[in-house]
Amino acid sequence: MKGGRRWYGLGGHWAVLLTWSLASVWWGGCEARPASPAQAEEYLGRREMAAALIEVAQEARSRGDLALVEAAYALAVELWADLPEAQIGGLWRTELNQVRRARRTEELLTAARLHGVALEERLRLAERQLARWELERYEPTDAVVPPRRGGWLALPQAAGAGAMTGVIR
Amino acid sequence: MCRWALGMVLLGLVGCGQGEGELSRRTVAEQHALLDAACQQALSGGEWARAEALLLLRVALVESSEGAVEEALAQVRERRRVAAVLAEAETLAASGGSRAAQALLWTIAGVALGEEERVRWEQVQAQAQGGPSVGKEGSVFDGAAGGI
Repeated sequence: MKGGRRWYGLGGHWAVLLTWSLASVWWGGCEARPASPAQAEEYLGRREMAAALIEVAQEARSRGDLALVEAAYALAVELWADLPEAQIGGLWRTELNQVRRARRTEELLTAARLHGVALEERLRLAERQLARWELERYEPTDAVVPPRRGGWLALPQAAGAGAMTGVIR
Repeated sequence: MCRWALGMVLLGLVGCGQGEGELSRRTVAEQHALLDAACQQALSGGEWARAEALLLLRVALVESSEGAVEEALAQVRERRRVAAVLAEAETLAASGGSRAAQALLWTIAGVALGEEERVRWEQVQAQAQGGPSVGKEGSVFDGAAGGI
């Protein structure tokens, strides 16, 4: 217990010093820029690649290919996570979140449209089945089918002729 | 004070680790090799959109269309189309639109399917064949009662 107190008493200054040094290192690391030509070349190479990938994403967006847009921004965020655009609140990450939401909405709309197509199909089938049942109800299959000529045509013509003669009289 | 210092140390460690991307601190040649490896991984994993993005990035970086890359792009686009058709057919078949699902399956009739795609195709086919039809007595209303 006593040792613990001694540690607290001695550690105060050391803790402040350690924190200060760590914060300096951290801040310096975050603010670091490529210094040597090799580092500069590497930095520019990464920037060039990232720009090409974002161009791919923008072309895909102009074609309406949201899956490709999402894949491109996800790749950019994943591959160049140290660049400011890929940080939380950065441009790429914001675009990625937006395109993910847009894709989700598109998927829901597509599912709703397909459900509508399926319902239409089932409705059509049901109407056809109903029509078949109606036919079976009014036209029993064991009924004698009259001959197409003679019986069919003679009866209305004869009735019509009678009616006509009746009217004339 | 000690806990505060420990907390700051942990925060520093987290801060140092957060800024590293896969392609950071690598030469351009290493970056290209890593992109190729990522593309191969996406192709083998069936992540077609990711693979297409990587192939398009490669075309953009090289600024010339190689035959192999063009062929790979065409294959990836075909696989994406097949995946989209299968997904739509699955949704349709699940909703009871068996004929529409069958019609969608016809659009990929001439395409050589992979193992996973073939399994999905067969499942949709079986579901569509078991769906409602005029020929089966009462099946239209049996199917419609659950969906509507």
